[in-house]
Amino acid sequence: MKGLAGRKKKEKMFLACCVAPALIGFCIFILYPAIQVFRMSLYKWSGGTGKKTFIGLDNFTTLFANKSFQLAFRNTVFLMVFVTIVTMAFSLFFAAVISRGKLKEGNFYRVVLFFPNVLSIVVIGIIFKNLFNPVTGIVNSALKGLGMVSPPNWFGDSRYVLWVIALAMIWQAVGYYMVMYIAGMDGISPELYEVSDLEGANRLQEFFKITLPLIWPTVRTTLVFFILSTMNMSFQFVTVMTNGEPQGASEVLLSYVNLQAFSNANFGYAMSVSVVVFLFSFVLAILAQVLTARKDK
Amino acid sequence: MKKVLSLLLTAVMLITMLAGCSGKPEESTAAPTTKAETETTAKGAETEAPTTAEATGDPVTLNLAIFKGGYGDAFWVAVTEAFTKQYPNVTFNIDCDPSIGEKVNSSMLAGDVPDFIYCPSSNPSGLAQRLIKDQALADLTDVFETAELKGKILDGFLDTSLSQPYGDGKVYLAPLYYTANGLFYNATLFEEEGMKVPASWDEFFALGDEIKDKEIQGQKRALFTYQGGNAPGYMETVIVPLIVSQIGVKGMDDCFTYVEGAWNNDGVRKVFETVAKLGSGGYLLENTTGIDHTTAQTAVMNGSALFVPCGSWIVGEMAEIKGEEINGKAFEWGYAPIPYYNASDDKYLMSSVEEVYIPAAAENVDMAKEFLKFLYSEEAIKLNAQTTGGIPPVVGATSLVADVLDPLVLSTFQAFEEGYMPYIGGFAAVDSEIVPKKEFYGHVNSVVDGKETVDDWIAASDKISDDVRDSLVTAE
Repeated sequence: MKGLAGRKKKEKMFLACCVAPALIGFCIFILYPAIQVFRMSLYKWSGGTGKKTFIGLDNFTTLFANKSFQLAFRNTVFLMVFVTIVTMAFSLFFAAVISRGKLKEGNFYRVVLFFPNVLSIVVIGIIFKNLFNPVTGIVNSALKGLGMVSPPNWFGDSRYVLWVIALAMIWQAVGYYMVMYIAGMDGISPELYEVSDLEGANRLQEFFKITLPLIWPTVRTTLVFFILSTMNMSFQFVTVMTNGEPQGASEVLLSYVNLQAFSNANFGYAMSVSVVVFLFSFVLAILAQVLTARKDK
Repeated sequence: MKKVLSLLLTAVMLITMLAGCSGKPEESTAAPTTKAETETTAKGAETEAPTTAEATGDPVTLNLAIFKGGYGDAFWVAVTEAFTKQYPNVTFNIDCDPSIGEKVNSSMLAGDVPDFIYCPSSNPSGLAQRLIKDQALADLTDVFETAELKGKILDGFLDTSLSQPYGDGKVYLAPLYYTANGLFYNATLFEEEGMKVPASWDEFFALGDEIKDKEIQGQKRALFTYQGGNAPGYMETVIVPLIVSQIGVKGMDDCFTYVEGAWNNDGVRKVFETVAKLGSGGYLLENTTGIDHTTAQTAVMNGSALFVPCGSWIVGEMAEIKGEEINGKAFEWGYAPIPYYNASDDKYLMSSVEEVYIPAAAENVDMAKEFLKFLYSEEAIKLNAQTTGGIPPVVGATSLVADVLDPLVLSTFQAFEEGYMPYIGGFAAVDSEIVPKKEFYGHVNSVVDGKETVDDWIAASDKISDDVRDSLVTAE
């Protein structure tokens, strides 16, 4: 008996040693900075060697009243909703076609559709920036060729700029989620489809009644990915493509944080915006999980 | 064998982990030679005493933090070598990096303070703004009161909000480069087509009307474009000198220091209306408000537009791009001052300034100030013109380097000798989440697109002033 207990303790020690480096790394590089973000949001600080003045929740009252922040928030929400819905629709569709379609060139399509995900975001941003350049871009040249007299001012008109950014984000993301859904769909037993075929179900019914419910856990996980990646990637796309212009119409929360923290030397305020971003993403992720939970099981 | 291979691969993986570690900045290539010079000249120090009295003989190392932009690092390598000839006890560490702003921000937090910084206030890292807000800059007023420099700096360059951020008469940022900004155009095209460069706004719009429906050299051209998509701030080149000509330097300074109602007068209204007319009159290249600065400047090079506002750096910036040939003749940049309303008006040109400064917490502030002083000497001015094409705002500098400077760049400065006065300045530093410059110039696009009226713009500008007036950064 003693031997067993001793062995169990050794095992526990061993496991603790294995986990320790990762835990220490997590505490130093993730937990500590996160705590600092929350702490610094209560100060007025330039981010340099100057003094830090404690101002409590003043930063938060400022940001909620600030029009630029409100616009950045609305833009971020728009991108999150639009990009998520469209990307999910496209990736589910492509995944269904490739996984169930028994196409000869299935592999080829998979590679081609996944390829944008391999490209660096900066590269994609520059590609779309050049494509949609209102004066020299191919899109406007094509539109002019088709007879349009004044093609849209993609980056100068606040009505269009977010759509272009959303397009770039969708193009980049579809492949990644498609691959995840394919993996999920490949795990579905083909017998289920055979049975439904015998019962006379068409492809659409098959998809909504069999495929989708059975990959639902995968879809729920990707919802969280969508929220986080849209939040992060929107910053990269906006910085490369428009830098928030025109007049904040394409500013997103994280690019606003970057502007305030560095160019504007307003670090404490930027940290308070980061706190809002954190809480917002957290709440959204929980909401997404709760709303998509199924009552069975 | 397999075991050895796997051990080897593991070792490689571990070592590549260290690839992310960054080392200290490399010492400049000039440093090793200056070290050797120090050893040999130390012996000859008694016979070769430097002309100025400050060399103490104690070895001093100056750490320079240099922004690597369009000018590169050639000047700094050359000027530190020249300085070491006069001060053999000084060695330099030059960190020249495009992201020097971010680097210095973090290194100063870690206690590693450079002795001298060249990173203009226009740099997106916000380094200069941060140091101003943190009261972390050394007072440079005494440097400009010394015998060598007193009266040598061109009028007006030392008493602007860019040099005296606290408005208290003390200089904290020294102007190293200045420009004469104006309108740039295709000189070859104008010459070949016999077109006259407009001097007044009436002539400017008349030219615009003339070219509206005709083709020049087989191409329809717009009169004007600007960097609307990503940098409408370039329009300061047009707007600011015009406002100064209408309401005077004090009036403009009042606007830039957020005095109440400073924007609400007829002079400002007249200028804003001219800007609005560029859009409403159809003089702008289509979709100007959505194009970035490279596209706008290229538009003049390929002929889609006739004029673009910029500074003399445009020549170097666009050097790689091939402009359109007219009648077999190569593209050449031409420079024109901003058109005036009446020939009898006071005429101004926006001058963009790039600053250098010394952190107050630097180890060798005094020697750094000596180095700063040296940058305005004739020798340094010549080196600068040769290596960068830029010159400091020193009396007589343009004639000193006339044979070295690119003729177009020289022609921009000559405007100052033909009755134009430089205006240097911009929105004063504020400790606020509102970024006045960004807010203000954003309205240019809306007004030009007809989405806002001139009155809206004036009201918005006064509102910006109201919102940030209490956050003006002052000396403590």
